[in-house]
Amino acid sequence: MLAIEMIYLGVISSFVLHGVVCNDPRGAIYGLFFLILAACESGIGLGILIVLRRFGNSVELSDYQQLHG
Amino acid sequence: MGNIIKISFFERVLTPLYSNYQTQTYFSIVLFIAISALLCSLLVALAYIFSLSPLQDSEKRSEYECGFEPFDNATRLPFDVHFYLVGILFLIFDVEVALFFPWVLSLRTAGWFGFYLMIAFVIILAIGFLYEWKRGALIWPSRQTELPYTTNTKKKVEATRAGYHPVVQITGGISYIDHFLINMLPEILLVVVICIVLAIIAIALGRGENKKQLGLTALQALLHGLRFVAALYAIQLFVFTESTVLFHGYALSTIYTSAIKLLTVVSCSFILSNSEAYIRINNCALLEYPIILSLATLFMLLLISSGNLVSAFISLVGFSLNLYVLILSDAPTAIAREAGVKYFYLSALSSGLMLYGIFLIFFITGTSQFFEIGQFLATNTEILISGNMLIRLGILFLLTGLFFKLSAFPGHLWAADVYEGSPDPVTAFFILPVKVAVISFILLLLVTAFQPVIIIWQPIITISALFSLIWGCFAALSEKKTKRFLAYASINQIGFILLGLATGSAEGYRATIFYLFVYAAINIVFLGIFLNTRRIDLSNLLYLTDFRQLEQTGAATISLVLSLLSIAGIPPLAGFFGKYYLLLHAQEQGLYGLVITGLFTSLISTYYYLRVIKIIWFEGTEDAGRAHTNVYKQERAVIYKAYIAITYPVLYIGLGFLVIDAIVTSLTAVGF
Repeated sequence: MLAIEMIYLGVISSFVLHGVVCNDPRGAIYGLFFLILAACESGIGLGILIVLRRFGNSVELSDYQQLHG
Repeated sequence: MGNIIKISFFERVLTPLYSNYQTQTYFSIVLFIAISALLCSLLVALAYIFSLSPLQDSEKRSEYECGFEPFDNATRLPFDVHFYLVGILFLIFDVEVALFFPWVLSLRTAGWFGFYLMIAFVIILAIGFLYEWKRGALIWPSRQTELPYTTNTKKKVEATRAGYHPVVQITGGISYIDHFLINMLPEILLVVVICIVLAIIAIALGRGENKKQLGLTALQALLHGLRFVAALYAIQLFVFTESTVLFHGYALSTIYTSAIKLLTVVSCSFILSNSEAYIRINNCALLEYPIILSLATLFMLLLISSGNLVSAFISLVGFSLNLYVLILSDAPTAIAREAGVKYFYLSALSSGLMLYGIFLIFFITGTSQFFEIGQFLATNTEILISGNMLIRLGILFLLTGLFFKLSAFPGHLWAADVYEGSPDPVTAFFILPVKVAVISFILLLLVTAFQPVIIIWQPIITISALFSLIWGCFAALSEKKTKRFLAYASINQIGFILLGLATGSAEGYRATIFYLFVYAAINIVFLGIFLNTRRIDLSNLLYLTDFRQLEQTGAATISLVLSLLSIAGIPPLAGFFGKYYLLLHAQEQGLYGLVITGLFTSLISTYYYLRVIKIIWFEGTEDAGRAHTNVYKQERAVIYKAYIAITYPVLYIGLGFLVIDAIVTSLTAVGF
């Protein structure tokens, strides 16, 4: 989850950087929206972790291997 | 704000570089990589050095914003899971405040329209919170007591709301109100219905009403809401014939979007109306299920009508967020949890890829509006001549992310697992509305924004189509479980649809849209039977061989057989025409490899569709198996027949072309 957040933040900072370089306020505004999306996403991620803990009693990904793709 | 001259990165930096040395761009990239690597290692090294030194003072030992006493050193000791509950709660209001800042600063320019939008947003947030509170999601049960997995669900509703509103908020400006009201009426209505249902449930829960009963009522209410919205789209389709651009181009409204929205809403309400039995029997999170499903529908509608990469991305992530929760609505089942986790991580990763693609495109073209991107690419043809890697990478990343959501070639591996693990209605949701919405978005994007650079994306889509066709058809050959079979078969069908996109010609797009409607109609029939047939022991057509328990002559079975024949491509039926036109136009564009693969896989897929028919008609036994089928069939029969009635014209007459013509004409009007 941390890694996913890092991906988002990396791109967001690029957007903001673009806004600074090109005198374009849209860069920062878009960055803000994506930041919010990333927050929502991590909110759900945490929710999923809680569900896993409650029902599966484990948050180790290696414990989830029943479906063989 | 208006005085600032916007210049694109391309004009400012890249163009001068090109005129000097092209290698200089690569040098700057190398420099960039070197500096970032240096910086990263420096930070890590510093953190490592400081974590070793035993600096202990009173400040360091006291509580920081998380509210915990510090413990241990900076190893990766996990927090109590309980902490995350508080964390989620914090996030919501964090987001709210983040939205408030720009709003306060721009209140003067946004006017009353902007003001009321924000008030509406806060009200929605408040309703979500009220619901969560009354639902008891904030209480941590002492030991896995019966309090169900609501925590994330509720939070979800709020979080997705937060995602939704930016789209609207950005667009303030009173002169847009009229257009806004007329064209976005169905979506607004849907939001209002969802909010009212949410509020009523919250109040009723506070009074201690029966949860199960409440859930069923909510389901019915939202179902009526969705049907009403569908009716509005139908009216829109026939009344408003001109194309409109809303919100400075953040949303579009054309016949094309209305038609696809109609299809999406119809398939969503179809799934909602058919999921009641499953939800009731399997004891899923009934209360939230219809609400989240409607929210996902809402985001898909926004996706279809978005005319800007930013609003498109917001709605795309918005419905993915809802899908995570939908998969987990059956959380006590181990495979559902596994499917949820898998989908969450992979989907978030692909969203990240897509976001980076969007950024690169925005970086080069200096805009994220589809039309402006199209104009930029059409006028700055030197991008292609000089072989600009960034725009190629941007399109590649963007399409790869979208392929993932479609479960087309580079991102198809999750499909079988997630379909199998999700509750049946959610699988249906993946197969029908999600694919319809994403495909229509890709089509709109390619036509309006990337048509000038067809040489960049044509190979990408061709490769994806090629491998989706092959992979889907061979994997489906040996599959025994119904849902995995459905997953692979749909990968194969998506391959056909991408084949139409790869042609890049107006006729190809027309054939694609036609095939999309055929695909939807056939799957409505198949899924209708899949969701409604149920044995008393609940095993619900788990394996393909269970299909032999269907009654052999019922109207439902016959239409199932017809639709299987149709999708297999047997001549008199619509599926044949769909595939025929796709292949014909691909051949006209010289995509011979694709055409041959398409023909070949179509032949093979005929085998496995016929296998299902064989199971239904020739492996049926007179044993007890058939006696206890279709428990729920009778009570759903009326609704079910209505859907069959809708699908017949598209399926069997093949005259859908009349409708499709009108749709394609509107695409042309949009600027293609």
